[in-house]
Amino acid sequence: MRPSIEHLTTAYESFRQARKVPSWYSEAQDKSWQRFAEHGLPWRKDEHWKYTSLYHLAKIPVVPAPDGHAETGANPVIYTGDQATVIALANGRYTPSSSSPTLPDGVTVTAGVPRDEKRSALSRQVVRPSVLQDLNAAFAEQWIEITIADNTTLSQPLYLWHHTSGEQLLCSPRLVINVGRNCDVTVVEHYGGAGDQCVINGSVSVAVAENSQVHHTKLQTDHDSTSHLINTNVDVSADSRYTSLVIDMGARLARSDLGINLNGQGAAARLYGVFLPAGGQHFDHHSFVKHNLPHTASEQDYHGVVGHGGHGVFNGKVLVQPDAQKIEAVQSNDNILLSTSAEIDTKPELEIYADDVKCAHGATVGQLDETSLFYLQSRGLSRRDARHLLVEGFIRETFATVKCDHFRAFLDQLIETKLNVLVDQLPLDATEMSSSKPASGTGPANV
Amino acid sequence: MLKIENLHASVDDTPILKGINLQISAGEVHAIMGPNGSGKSTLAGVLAGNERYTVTDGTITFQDNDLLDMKTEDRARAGLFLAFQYPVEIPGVNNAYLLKAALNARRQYRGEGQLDAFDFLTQIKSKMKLMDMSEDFLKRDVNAGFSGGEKKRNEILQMTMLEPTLAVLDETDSGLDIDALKIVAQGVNSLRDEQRSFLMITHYQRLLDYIQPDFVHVLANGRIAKSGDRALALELEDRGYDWITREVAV
Ligand SMILES: Nc1ncnc2c1ncn2[C@@H]1O[C@H](COP(=O)(O)OP(=O)(O)O)[C@@H](O)[C@H]1O
Ligand SMILES: [Mg+2]
Repeated sequence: MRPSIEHLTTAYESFRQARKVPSWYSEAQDKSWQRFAEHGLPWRKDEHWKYTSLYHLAKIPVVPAPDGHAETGANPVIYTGDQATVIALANGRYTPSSSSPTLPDGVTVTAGVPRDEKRSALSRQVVRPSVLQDLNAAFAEQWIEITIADNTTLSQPLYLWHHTSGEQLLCSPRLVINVGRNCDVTVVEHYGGAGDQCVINGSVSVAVAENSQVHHTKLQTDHDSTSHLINTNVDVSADSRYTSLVIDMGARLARSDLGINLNGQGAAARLYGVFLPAGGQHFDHHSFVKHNLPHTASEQDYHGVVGHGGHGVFNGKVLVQPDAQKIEAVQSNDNILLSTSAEIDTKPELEIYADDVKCAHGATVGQLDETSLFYLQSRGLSRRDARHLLVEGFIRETFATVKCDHFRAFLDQLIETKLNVLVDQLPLDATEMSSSKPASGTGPANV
Repeated sequence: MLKIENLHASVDDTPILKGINLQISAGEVHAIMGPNGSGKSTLAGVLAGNERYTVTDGTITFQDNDLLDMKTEDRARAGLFLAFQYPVEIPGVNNAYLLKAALNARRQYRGEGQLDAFDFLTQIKSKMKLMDMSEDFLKRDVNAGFSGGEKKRNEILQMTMLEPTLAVLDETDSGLDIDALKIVAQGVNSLRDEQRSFLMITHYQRLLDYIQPDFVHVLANGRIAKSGDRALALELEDRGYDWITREVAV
């Protein structure tokens, strides 16, 4: 049976009563809601939801996140402002009062309902449509649009601080990022909600014009009762390169859908991911790269370290359209299970309709290598520190793309804290791993 | 320094070591030779505490401590060093980082403070010069993509930094060309003094031209079949191992 949407329906009714938006927008929201309600929440029989369950959502009597600011107190993990341009979003809404007082040249931020339907990016082609997007559209009151003008090079990251506070809130951030031509920018989205049992159902749409470089990091350190559902859709134009790094550390459930359209010759995407679930956490990454034109390239490299009681899911798909010749696509997902109760489901997929292509993919699941542990211990490191070092080494290479030293130091600190939790949970017995169960669904190509 | 008595060890219930007796005093260099598969690496692994091997009988005393009762890391911190026959590649962890972690673990064990970063750099640079290694090596991941010779040199570099009281070298000379062999020997000889002991496992007597041993032992069929001085190594070079294996079988 599908999870019940009773609480969501109640929430939508109260939201309808209170909303103050233009009529074309409220009609569009009603339509989105209807689409969502007819389908319902995804469940395991829906494609792409085999391993991730949303039943717990049915039990949370969510209310639409109210306007106003969110307290930052409870979650102090925030990247400091003087090394970045802060754009603060509280409960899914833009809060200029907590943001940097000035924006760099070439950057504008607007927030509100789009002036009309055409301007709203509603018409953009989504790589993999989802009912959760409809749910987001139904509740989103504010579109936060960040525009980066042609020829803009930013020396500091744009740091989007997504914050929630309160209880059982449904937050529906809707973000549109438009990057002009010949730009070089770093955008960091940090979801660090402190709210209790909040549901963050976000939609992020990125469009990169020709000949630009975009580094986009999504860092997630939400409160451990949070359900984090983010759909990111990216259009990459000719000769542009989009680099994504997605890091999951917090939340109870985190599901990230990342869809990439490679829409121009010379367009490239590099997607990296690090997920560290433990203690009942469930992290799911679904990526989908569409090679729509010849001479496009993509690379995916996701590293999972699954601790005691954690569950990781990776599903990466590459689709090569019939005329997209001379493309290159590489995809890999490597995982380390730290405990017998750790679980991973991994499935890299290739779907190729062109014949002159270079594609490769693979997935591995293993435990920490005993010989490596012994080597480190024979140099005087404790078993605990040896584990820590091996895991750190395993995930560190995915950080190589982070250009800003200051931000990387911030990440290192966060990762260090999380790794300590992961390795301290483990028993010190050397033989405990020998009966770990193997991966399910290590996928061969389905060409 | 080290006293091995009646040591028996097995892998997956197969007995490999069948009663080893060996005593090493401070300042001595012992060489262990023997055919492939005779148990040389097993002995090295047991000394370092590799749990792949199960000790079924016997005792090992190291500096008045029951070695078999110590964890691998405590053996290292107490001054035991094993240069691996096949050094392990650790991607994502650079050489400088590992060395600092190793040195600090030992200092902490001995109640000393953290390593001074400047002292470390000064020291490592001079040791790298001794081992003919370039400085960019410090930033490279441990053994990742190293040639066989580079890995062996890295083991000896680690040894010279950690300054063990007992160093066990497991076929550090195998596969080295003569220049690399000389560098490795130089690294070992730089550490030799009255306090430090070495157990050099080797397949070829060539190494012993550069590092003069005080004693030579032959391991065959899980036991020390013969002991002697350097002359024994030369005899082995001449006659091979078969005659000893035959003597043991009788
Ligand atoms: N990890 C292991 N697993 C299974 N067998 C092993 C292992 N290590 C050693 N052996 C066996 O033990 C015997 C001795 O091996 P080893 O100690 O490596 O010899 P050497 O170093 O003298 O060549 C060999 O027969 C080898 O096959
Ligand atoms: Mg050997």
